[in-house]
Parts: sequence; C-alpha cells; structure tokens
Amino acid sequence: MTMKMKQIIFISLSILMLFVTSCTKDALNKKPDITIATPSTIADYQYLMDGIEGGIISNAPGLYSYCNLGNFLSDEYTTTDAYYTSNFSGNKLLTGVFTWNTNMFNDLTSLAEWNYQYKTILYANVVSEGIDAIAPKSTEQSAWNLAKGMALFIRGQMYYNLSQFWSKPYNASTAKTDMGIVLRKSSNATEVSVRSSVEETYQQIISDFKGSLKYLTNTSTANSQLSKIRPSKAAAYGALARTYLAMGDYTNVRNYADSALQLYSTLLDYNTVGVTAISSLANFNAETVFYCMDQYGSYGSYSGYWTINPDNQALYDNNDLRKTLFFFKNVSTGNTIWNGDYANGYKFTGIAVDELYLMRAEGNAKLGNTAPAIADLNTLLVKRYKTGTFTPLTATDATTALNLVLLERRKELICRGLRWSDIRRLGLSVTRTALGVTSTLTAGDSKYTLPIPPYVISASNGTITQTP
Amino acid sequence: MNRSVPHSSGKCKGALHKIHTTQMYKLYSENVRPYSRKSKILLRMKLTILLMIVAVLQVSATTFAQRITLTEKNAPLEKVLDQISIQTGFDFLFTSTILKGSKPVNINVKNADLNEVLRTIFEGQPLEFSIADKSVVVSRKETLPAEKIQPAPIPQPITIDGQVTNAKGEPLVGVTVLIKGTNRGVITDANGYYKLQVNLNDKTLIFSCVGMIWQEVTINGRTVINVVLVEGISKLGTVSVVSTGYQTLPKERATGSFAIIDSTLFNRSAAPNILNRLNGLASGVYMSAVTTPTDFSNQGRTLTYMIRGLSTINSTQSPLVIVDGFPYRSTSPYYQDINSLNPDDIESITVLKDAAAASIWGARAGNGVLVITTKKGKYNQKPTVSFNIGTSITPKPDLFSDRSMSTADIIGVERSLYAQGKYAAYNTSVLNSTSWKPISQVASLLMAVSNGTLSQAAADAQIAALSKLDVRNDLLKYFYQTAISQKYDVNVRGGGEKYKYFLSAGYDNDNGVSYNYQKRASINMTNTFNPIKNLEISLPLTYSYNKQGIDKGTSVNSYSNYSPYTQFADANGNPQNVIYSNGYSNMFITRALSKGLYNMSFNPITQFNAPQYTNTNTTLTTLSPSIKYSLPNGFSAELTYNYTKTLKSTEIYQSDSVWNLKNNINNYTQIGTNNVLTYPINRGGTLNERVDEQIDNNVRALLNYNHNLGADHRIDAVIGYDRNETHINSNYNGWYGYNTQLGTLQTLVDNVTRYTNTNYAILDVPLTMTSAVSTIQNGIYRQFTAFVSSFGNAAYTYKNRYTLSGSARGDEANIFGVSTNNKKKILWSVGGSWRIDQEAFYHISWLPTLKLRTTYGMQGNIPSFSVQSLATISYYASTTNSSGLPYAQLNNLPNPNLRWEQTGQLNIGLDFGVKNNIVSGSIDYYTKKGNDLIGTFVMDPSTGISSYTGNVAGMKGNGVDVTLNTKNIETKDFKWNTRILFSQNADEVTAYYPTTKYYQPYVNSVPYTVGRPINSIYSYKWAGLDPLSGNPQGYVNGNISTDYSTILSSTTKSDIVYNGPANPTIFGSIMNTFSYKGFNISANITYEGGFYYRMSSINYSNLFGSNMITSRGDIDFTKRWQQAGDEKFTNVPSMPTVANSSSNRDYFYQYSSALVAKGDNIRLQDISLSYDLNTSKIKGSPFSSFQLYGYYLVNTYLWRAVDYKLQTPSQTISFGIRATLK
Repeated sequence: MTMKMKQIIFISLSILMLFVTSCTKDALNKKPDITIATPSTIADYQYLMDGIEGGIISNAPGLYSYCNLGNFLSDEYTTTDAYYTSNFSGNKLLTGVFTWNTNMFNDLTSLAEWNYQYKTILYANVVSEGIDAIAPKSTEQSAWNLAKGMALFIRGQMYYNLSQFWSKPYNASTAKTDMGIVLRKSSNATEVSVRSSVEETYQQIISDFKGSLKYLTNTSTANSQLSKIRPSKAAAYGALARTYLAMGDYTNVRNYADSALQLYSTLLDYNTVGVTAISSLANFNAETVFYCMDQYGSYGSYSGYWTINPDNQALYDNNDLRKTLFFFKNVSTGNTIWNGDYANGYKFTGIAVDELYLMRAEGNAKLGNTAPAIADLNTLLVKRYKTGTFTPLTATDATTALNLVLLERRKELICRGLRWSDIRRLGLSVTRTALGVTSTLTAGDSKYTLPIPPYVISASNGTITQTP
Repeated sequence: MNRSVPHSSGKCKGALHKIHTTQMYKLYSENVRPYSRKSKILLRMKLTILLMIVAVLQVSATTFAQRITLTEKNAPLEKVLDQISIQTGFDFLFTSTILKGSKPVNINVKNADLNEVLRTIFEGQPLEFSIADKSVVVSRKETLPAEKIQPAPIPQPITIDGQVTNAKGEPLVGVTVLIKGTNRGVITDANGYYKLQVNLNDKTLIFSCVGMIWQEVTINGRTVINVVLVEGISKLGTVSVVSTGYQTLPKERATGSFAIIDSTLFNRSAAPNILNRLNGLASGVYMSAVTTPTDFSNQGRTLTYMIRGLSTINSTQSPLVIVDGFPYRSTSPYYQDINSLNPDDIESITVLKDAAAASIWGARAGNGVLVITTKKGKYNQKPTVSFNIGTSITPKPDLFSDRSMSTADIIGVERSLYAQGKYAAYNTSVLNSTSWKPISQVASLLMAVSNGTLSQAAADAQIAALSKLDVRNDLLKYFYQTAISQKYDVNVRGGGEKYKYFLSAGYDNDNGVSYNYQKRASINMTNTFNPIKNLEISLPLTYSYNKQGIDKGTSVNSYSNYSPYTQFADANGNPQNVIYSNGYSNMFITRALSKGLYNMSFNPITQFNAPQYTNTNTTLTTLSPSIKYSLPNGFSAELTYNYTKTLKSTEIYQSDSVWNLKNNINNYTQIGTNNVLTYPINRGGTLNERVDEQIDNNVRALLNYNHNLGADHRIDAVIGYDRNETHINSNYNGWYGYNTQLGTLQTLVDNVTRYTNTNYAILDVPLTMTSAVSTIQNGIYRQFTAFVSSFGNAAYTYKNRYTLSGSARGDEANIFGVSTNNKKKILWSVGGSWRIDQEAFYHISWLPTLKLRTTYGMQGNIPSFSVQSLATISYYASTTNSSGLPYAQLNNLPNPNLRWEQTGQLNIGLDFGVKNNIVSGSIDYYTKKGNDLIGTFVMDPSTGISSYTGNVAGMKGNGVDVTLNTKNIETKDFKWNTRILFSQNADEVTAYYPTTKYYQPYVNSVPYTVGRPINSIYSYKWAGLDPLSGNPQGYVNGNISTDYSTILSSTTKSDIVYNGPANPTIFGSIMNTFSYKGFNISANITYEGGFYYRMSSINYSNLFGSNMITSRGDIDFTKRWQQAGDEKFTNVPSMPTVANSSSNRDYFYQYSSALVAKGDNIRLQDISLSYDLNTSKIKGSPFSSFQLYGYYLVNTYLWRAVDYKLQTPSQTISFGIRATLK
C-alpha cells in the first residue's frame, strides 16, 4: 500500500470522527422525561393549582383539607367501651384524641393534617411567586388572575384550617402574645419555621382571603363543577365570614356572609334530593359554594372505631328530614351512622350556602338584629322539613335568636369540621367517658390548642416550639 | 492440567509470560520527533484530533534501522538483547528463568547484521534463538534438537499452515515451529497461527514452547497441520491482558487494580446466569449470600453485588457493566438484562476496582466496572466447531427446614385462643361485618362443641388426627417440581487471511421448581474483515430472545394461606375445597351463590391450574460495526457505532376462574331488586400488557498510540470521544372483561362512581362501604438520557520498569435537571508502577516477580433521576383527576448547588511470584473518600416537603484485597493448586448534614451516623425476661422497664445499642483444585464475617392473627418462657393472652439486642468435576478436545458463628459435555 493511500484512509477516518464529535449540545438540552418541566407559564401554574385538587394524594375530586380530625375532637363522635377496649387501648393517637391528651401525636412520624396542609401552602407559594414574575398579556389577564387568586385563597384556607388546631383560640386582648401557627410565606425551604402570634395568624388569613378577592370572579351562574372546585368571590367572602366568626368580629361576619349570599344563595330542598339510607348527597350539589373534602386525614383507618354521638339525633324534630334521611343504625354493631355529607361518602369541609345563612344569622343575632336572624333560619329550615310540616321559628330577643342559631349550627353543620371551631370560640365544654374514666374539656382549657407533633419539632431542630 | 490458576486463554505460557520481562522495543530514527503530547488531552476534541492527524502523518514517514552498533563488556545477556531490540525494533520472546543461567556477553560490532550479532551473542550460551516476523524467540537448548537455528528460509515450493492450540482448543501464541534437521522455523502469531514453507524432503515439524511438552509431527504431504500442545512441567503462572473495555494492555504495564476472570474459571460454574457464575471468583467483589429464608431457589435470581464495598449512600450501588466496550444497563429505569447474554459466549471478565482502572469510565464508574469481553474469531484459522450440552437439576425446596412451628403447637395456640374467646366474633350464626370471614377447622370444631352440635370427645379425636398432618407435604406434592434445565450451545470460529468470524447459537430451557420457566435463545455473530493491510472492519451482531414466566397460580403456594393441617386433596386424591384465610365462610359462600354471584370457595389445586399466565419476552438486538485503521508507527484510529435495542413485553392474564379476580368482580357487582345483578366490572378475565423499549445509540471515536520512543521509552495512549443516547419508551394498558376466545374486553370502566361493597349486601348488613373501581393502569412513559464524554489515558513506561499513567475524562449529561447548569464533570486519575524484579540490583532468586503499583483518582456516580437542580413539575392527564382537569405536581424544590457525586480512591498494590510461581498473587490496599454524596434528609414538614435531597453526605472506606495462588503439589500426573481470595472492607459515614438534634426513636430507621458504617445494625438494650411474667424487658431512663410504648418512643439515640456493620467486612473464598491426568476436581469454599444481622423469632401478634392462624409462627416458640426460672435459659418471651398481646411488645423484642447475631460463616459454595479425554491418543477421534463436566452447587454452611436455623438453600447439580471438533 502506498503512503498516499494510507494517508487517505487515515484522513477519511479522522474526518468521520470529527463529524461524529460535533453537534452535541442538542441532546444535552433535551428533557430526560417528557412529563417533567420547570414551571414557567401561566398554564403551568394553573396546572399546579389544579394539581392540589385531588392530585396530591389520590384521584379524588376536589381540594383536600384536613378538618375532620376536629369532628373526632368534638362532641360529634364518641365510641363504645367495647371498641375502646379492642381498638383504642395502647394507641396514643386514638386515646389521645378521645381524651385530648397532649401525647396524642407522640408516636407519629407524619401527620396528614400538618404535612399535607403545609404541602398545599408550598404549592400556593410556588404559584404565587411564579405568577408574579409573569407580566400577562391582556388576553392572559383572566388566566393570570385565576392562578393568583386561587393561590392566595388556598393558602388562606390552609392557614385557617391549621389555626383551628394549633393556634390558641382568638382572644383580642392576648392575641398579640398568644402562640399562633407557623406561617410559611415563601417557597424557600431554607427559611426557618417559627410560630407567629395569634394576631399575626389571623391577619395573614384575612389578608390572603382579601387579597384573593381582587382576582377571583363571581360564582358563575352556570353553577358548574368547575366553579365549585376553583374558588370564587363568594367562596372568599364566605371564608372571610368564617375567619371573623373565629375572631368574634360579628359585624364582619354578617357583612361578609351577606356579600357571599348576594352572589349565590341556592339551597337544596331535602324533600327532592332523593337520598336513601346508603347514598349520601351528591358531590358538587347546588348548595355548594366551594368544594373541599377530607378523607379522614390521619384518621382514615380509625374512623370505623368511632361512632356518631347518638345525642345528635335527638336534637332533630321528627319531621326534620335530616333525622330520618341521614341517621340509621348498624344492626350488627348497634352503632349509629350519619350519612348526610355533601361529598358522597367523604367528609365535606368546603363552604355551602346553609353555612352562609347561619353565619349571617349569627352575626345579626349578635348585633341584636333578631328579625333578620330568624328570617335566615326559617329560609333554611323550610327546606329541611317534610313539605308542609315546618312551623316558622320566632324569637323576641336576640339571645333566643342566637341560641336558635347555635343549635341549628350543630344540627345543620354536623361533621363539617366546624363543631370543633365552635367549641373553641364559644368555650363550650365536652365530657367523654370510656371504661368508666371521664375526660373533660372545659372553657379556657389549654387543650383547645393541640400539641405540635413532636416529629415536627424535631425535624425543625426545635425552631418550632411547643404550645405551653 | 490446572484449571484453577487464572490465566489468559490462548497464550503460550512461556513465551508471552516473558513479555513482561522483555517487551516489544521499537526504535525510530533520531530525526523524527514523536507527536508532541504537550497539548492537554481535554482540549476540545476536534482540535486535538486535527493535531493528531498532523502528527501521525509526520511519523508515518519513518523506517526501521536494521543494522546494529554495540559495544558491551561482561554485560548481562538481557541487557544486550534489550539494546538490540531497541536498535532493530525486533521483539524478543523469552522467560526470565531461561536467562538466569546465561553467561555475560562481550561484543563490539559496528553496523553489523542482526543475524551475525545474535550468533555472536548466543555462542557458548545454553540457549538458542529463532527469528520470525520481527521476533526473536529465545529458548533453552534442551527443548530443541541440538542444532543451531538458521535465519528465515528462502522461498520454498510447499506452504504449510495451521494452528497450535492447547488442550482446551485455545490458540497458543509464540510457539516455535521448526523443520526438523534444519534451522528454519517460525513462531505462531497472536491467534496461534503459523505459516511455513518447506522443501519436499522436509519430513517432520517440531513444535515447542516453554511450559508445554514439545511435539514432533510428520508432514506426510499435508499442507495444513494443526497441533495441540499439552502443558508440561515447567508451567508458568498468570499471563494476563487486562481490558478496560476500550483498551487492552498487558497486566505488567498496568498501574491499576484489576481482577481477571477468564473463560475457564468462569465456566467452572454451570449456573445459567452470568452474575451467579461470578460468585466467589474475584477478590473485592462481594455477592450477597443466599440467606433469605423464603428464597427457595438461587436459579435465575439476581444477586446483589458490589466492588470494594459501598462508594455511595443513596445513589446507584451496582457496578457499571461494560459488554464489548459499551455500557450495559439493567438497573431501573433501564431494561437491558444481563441474563440475556449467553455465558458461553464470554471470553473473559475483567473487574476494574480502583480509580485508575475505573475513572476512564467517568461519572458512572464510582462503584467499579465489570468489563465483559465476548469471544471473537481468529484470522487464518480453520473453522473450529465447539459445543456445550448440559443439564441442570434442582430438587424441590426443603420446606421442612424452615422456621415453622409444628402443627401440634399451632393447634395448641388455637385452642388457647378459642378459650379466650378470640373467635367468638366470627361465629357465622350471627350476621355481622365479620361473619363472612372463615375460621380454621380446629376453631370450627371447638365452636361446634360450644354450640352443642359436637361432642368434646369427637372433636378431640378429630383434632388429634389433624395434628398429625402438615400442609407442607401437599405444597411440595402439588406446587413444586424438580427443576430441570437444558442448555445447548454451539459455536464456530475461524477465519482466513482477510476475514475472521465467530458464530454462536445457544438455547437454554429452564424449568424452575415452582413451575416458572425461562427460555433463552441467542445468536452471536462477529465478522471481521481486513480488506487491506492494517484496516479492520468489524460487524458484530447479537440477537437474543428470552422468555420467562409462569402459567400457574403463584399465590396459592404460600402456606400462610392455610392452616398447617390443611389437605389439598381428599382421601381419594381428588382436589378439594379448603379453608382459605383470605376467603369466606361457608355460610357466606352459600349466600353469595344463591344471589347469582361467583362461587367463592377455594380449591388450591384447581386454583393453581386455573387459566392464567404471566410472561415476559425480552429481545435484545445489538449491532456494533467498527472500523479500525492502524499505522505501523503505533497510531491507530477506531470508530465504533453501537446500536442496542431491548424490547421487553410483559403480559399478565387471569381468567375469571382465578379466585382473586372473581372476588374483585363480586365485590363490585350490585345486587338490585329481585337479585338482578349489574356489573361495574364485566365478568371475564383481565389482561395487562406492558411494553418497554430501550434504544441505545453509542458512538465512539478512539485514537490510540502505542509505541516505543527512543531507547527506553514507551507510550501507550488513547484519546477518545463517546456519545450515548438512550431512549426509553414504555406503554402499558390493562383491561377488564377480557375474553380469550372472542378477544372482547370491557372498553369503558366507570372508576368515578363509588359502589357499595356487595359483601354487606350478601349478608344483609346495612353498612355503607363504598369504593370506586380501580382502573387497571394505562399510560405511557418516555425517557431520554444523553451522555457526551471525552477522555484520554496515557501510560509512559521507562526502561520497562517504571510506568506512569494518567487519565482524565469529562462527562456531560442531560440528567441534572432540565437546565444545562453544572452538567459537566471531570474525573481523573494518576498512577505509577515499579517492576522491582527488573532492577539490576534485584537478586532475590526465589522471588522472581515483584511489582509495586499505586494509583489515585476520582470516580463519579450518577444520582437517581429524581434529583434535579431546578424546581420541576410533572404533568398528568385530566383522566387521572376526577375533577376532570389536567394538572401538574411539584417534584422537587430547586437545588442550585447540586453537584455530581465523586469518590477519591488511593490504591497501593504489590504483585509477586515466588520461584516457579509456587506462590503468586497480589495484595492491594485501598482507601476511598466520597464527597458531595447525595443524601436525603428530613426536613421540617412545615416547609411543605418532608425530605430534601442534595449533596449532604460524605463517607470513607478502606480495605485490602488479596489474591493468592499456590501450587501445592505438581507432578507429571497429579496437581494440587489452591486459590485464596481475601477481602476486607470497612466503610464509615463522615458527614451527613444536617444532623438532626432530635430523631425518630426507631432502631430500624436510625439515621446515618458519623463514624458508623453506612449500613449498621442497632438494637434496643435488652434486660432479659421478667422472671415473673416472661415479658421482655428494656430500659427507660436507665431503669428496667416493660413499658414498651415508652421504650419505643423515648429511647434516645445514645441509649440504642450499636451492634456493628450490616455488610460483611471480611469475605473471600478458598478454592482447591486437584487434577490427575484428565480428571479435575475443584471445590470453592466462601466465607464472610465481621457483620451482624437480626434473627427472626416469634411474633405473637402475627401468630394470633385475626380470623384464623395464618402465621407459621417461629420454632423459637418451643423455647418460650413458660415458668419462673426459664428466664435463665431463654430470651424468648412468654406467650401473652389475647388481651395482653401487643405489637409494641413484639416490636421491642424483634429489635432488641437479644435477636442480633454475628453473621460470620463459612460455606461450601460448589464443587466442579471434569474429565478431559486425551483426544490426541484416540485414533480417528473427531474431537480436538472433549470434556465431560459436572457441577454441584452445594450452597451449604460449613460453619456459622450463630447456629440460627434457616431454610436450606437450594442445591443444583449440572453435568454436560464440552467439546471442540477437529
């Protein structure tokens, strides 16, 4: 072989090599997995907000919240000695919740009520920060508003839920020094968590809800499933009324409940809902303003050990459809079962029109406006009684009206996670007995505030402190 | 013949062995300067390649000097030969032992001819030489007729060619082929080939080679003469060429730490899979022992293995596997399956252990590298056909050797539970939410006594009969078989002047003990062309098809489904319905049937045979064309493209006679008025399909330079560029209501509506338990990874004694987030070796081989895919969200500081060989330090995430690897060799940030602790049994306590006992090989030590169960505390009452120090037996080699530090024939 030929071969091979070594950058910039991306568009942020709805945990409809633990902490549930013996003994969470013991979370390494609500807050912060960095075109303004408004609303909603467990009950005179919840206002995970004061907690909740009002739209008249999954102005007004109720600011309670009802006030007539003993009310029914539910949170696997407090059923008049449609006995266990939630088997924790009426009524009663308070009660109750059997309520003074409203809250808003908040704000006392031992929750009790789970304190390296 | 000594196949032991004491010197004229290596390797590749081309073209103009100028007085012969080699470029092949007796040389020549000079030098020496093809073979006079060899022959009329092989059919290199009565001869080439021209009057050829018995062969008019040489007495030790996957180099020049497993050693085992065959074959390579009690079969099991312990904490821990130069990826999410490779196609496996060896593989080589080289064809070789036919037999597992309690003991517990009222709730005469559950036969009998329908005596008699039964007899009878595997393998290799090939076809048919099967067919084809001189074009193609699966009901053979006295067939041998722990009571079954639902009775034998299957078909296609061009001056360029496609499809079918499916359909079936049934899940079978496709595209460009520069210098260098792109596409689908006959299926499944559970309706219990039909998953997955790497590696050898090596590699990948930041990683290594035995001052004659080497370098590791530097989200389709909205979820928060993991490793090694290699081997010491290791730590959940992943950890490790080969006895007929492997490895966490002040007080999840091994065993402090109650006791605040809940929740980290490492810190093997004539027997004994494990023991909460006893308990039950005083002899807690039974009590005991044991053990791994027929002595034999082999996978403990009962592992016997046709 000639030298020239050798050179030709070598050069050809080398040129081929040069060829294969070029153009490399494209591959390195490709995504390793097509389903992942760095969030950057308004649509990405809306996807994230819609991901909270069901996506975080499983494919269940609507936003999860975790207030159901409150049902078990309140007088709405109880248990039997037999269940207590077989299931509660030795279980710190069950016995702790039953007796409001401060060790209730000691065995846990994770508590959905804490972890998932803060996870939802993280989503809201990521979206809120991300969307702020986008300057929307005019055609994108409504999409931008929805993502931003939703982020604020949902963060407020989570803060509110958390405050009902871990912030001391609101007391205007001590709110500035009482311990509130941890407020995470940014997505930066390296920021240290510290507890705020009760005042800061509530101001933050109010500011988030009020902030969302700028961006949210009125509930659409189409009354669609979407309009209930994504928050509306009516939902934000309702949430503000709830917040002020916890603070005892009744003017705002009345005003915001009224604002919400101005936007949406459809009530279900229980004579026509077609509920049977084994099917609860439909998801996204007409009374729902904002859909939110709880699949028992950390309590999911234990719910069967509890039974609805049979005292509840006695509160209802015999003509009250709620008594006959929703309560029945389990023949094998003898326990009472309640089945009237608005979430088709899960626990509804959203905002519905009945609650708005009751909040407006309570606000008015507190403010001394007896007549409008009673009128709201009657508007609601006529839809709850068998047709033709309801006798409108009357009251001559605001205190009677208030007591009627509070009784009605207990009957109408059962198992919505609201009873625990009522017990806290009203300073109600609860007594429970198991195996002959009685535990009592009394007005002003420190047990109104749940202990911070020890694993949270440990994971924060102690920057989060226990409620004294 | 000694099969235990690792040696590279196909080398004439004598001649090539001494390539490490000689080597190929080549000289260039002074005026040509070699290519300058001043430019840094990691300059942009394009530029470098251009420079190289220029340099190469310059160098290619050189010629060799053929004349010798030399003046030496009383110089050692070796030194003189070195000089000649340097001046002429001729290679000298000889052994150091040969030169030991040589006389000093006096010479003074100027511009003399090579032949003249050699004749002068060899005059009066006890040595001879022959010249062929730029090589000079030096040998002892005794091995050859006492005539001087004359220089190469003048062209003659007859050409004879052929191949010289050893008894195994492996070609021998460097064999001298001499025409008897003349001094004309040649030596065989790298493939054992020779070509020689003879005169008509030449009668006989003499084949000789150090280490082999020389042979005279009559020509008899033949033109092709193939010869098999048998190993002689003066056999020399290890000859090795190490392969780094893209480069081969003589072991002598290597600075790094390698272990080589050649095909002989590799084929000692008859295991069907590669990994199983590697067990106990290389020091520093740990394969987990078979200790899982439930692991009935070692066959087909992927052993976990690691090289030199852990190098990472959370990232991939398995070594990188390279097959013929390209990564083979089988760990998730990849689908390549190493078991698709036919072990018979493997030529050798090199384990790259240290940084210098592995760093060239860059960021993926942090855990070491396994380089697998497959067989290739040989030039100028007659077609050689070899085959291997074998069978393996694995008997049924020994179920009776497990830790189960006896039937009588379990019945005793059942009686006690019944007396305590445990089963009252399951009384089927009351309808409640539990009465559909079945209870055991014994509990039913006792209940019948209570209900007054059976007399106590009758019940006792029946129970006494039951206590003699054991369900394991039926399990073995109906659900297990003796496993038989067959293997057929044939290959042809050969080649002509310009063409070589290797073709192999293999077929394996394995039938497992539990009726699982695996069939593998593979075709491997390598064609290499040499169209013009120095140009080699190679076209390897492999295809393999692997089908594995099972057609039986796999779940029924778990005996925790049944009571221990269950009988699967009646007295006449007919399959019968049994009480199935997950099934239903008879009352329920009858009610369900009456409503028109599926019959839910459970018949194990029928269920086992019900129509169903799971099968996985994997096809692997590899095409790897390459082109290589070499210049005579040492440069070569090579371009390889590699395409591998793996297609794995899995199908799972269950007919609606399978109980679980019937149950699922029943649960959703809605019972309307007049028992009209509606089916949210259609009746019929289910079909799940999944197809995973992995396509790998690799391109590699290599520029090699292997040459001598000047008198004492040699450079071996390579620079290369590598590009890999891998696509993974997965599609999966599942259907309900599948009808195999009609091919119909349920296209629409309502998975939103929540249906009430039918079981309550069947029992008329008004409970609302609702759930939606779960979808059979369907979806797609797409993944893409790209690696772009450039690398260089150079070794410089001075005077054949000192070698310096260095390597560097830069890797870029698309895996670090979706942005390009921080993708590039540069890893490097340096090393040096010193051949002390080559020094002039070295005179230790009993230790002729001594080499010191050391390396230091950085290895990398790839984090798992979930680690991203930027915040990422994943999109999900609206169909998976019941709100009907498409959505996204946050995968991770941003981590702008994320870096690649890296591990620095220092290796110091010593290779040695005592005279005649009576003892030879190596000792390596290494330390490694991992920085920037990626770890996950607990985050304050208030941040929205409960854990965070980043570069937070550090670890260090060190160890020693020893390989020792000894020749204990070596006579003409009988040999006894021993191979000892010893490895020690310790690791320790050096950092794990941030260390939480608080931690979760569970011993099975103690966080990584600085100063402790990565995998450690911790336990609760044990205070013995309470003498009054037999309760296990621990400590609370230093005081003995039985408050288990408090012990579990408040034991602090400092109170927890640290027992020791969980991974063996010492392991190795001892293999003895005996051979007598053609017989060969070897046994491998493995050992491991310096680690701890948790024994299992009785867990009463599990034993008591719910509706019936399904746990088999634990034999420790018989050792339980029963009365005061027992605590002196036992640590096994007393049996509590149902009311006092607590899972915390069991948990405390299980994780207490009482159940931690030292894991040290010695195991007889296997025995291999073979007989080689001396085919040369059989007239007319069609075989050039013929071997009968047997292999016994013994897998039995010879000694254990703690005599803890474990189910006997499976044993396998294999036998077969390996032969090569003439």
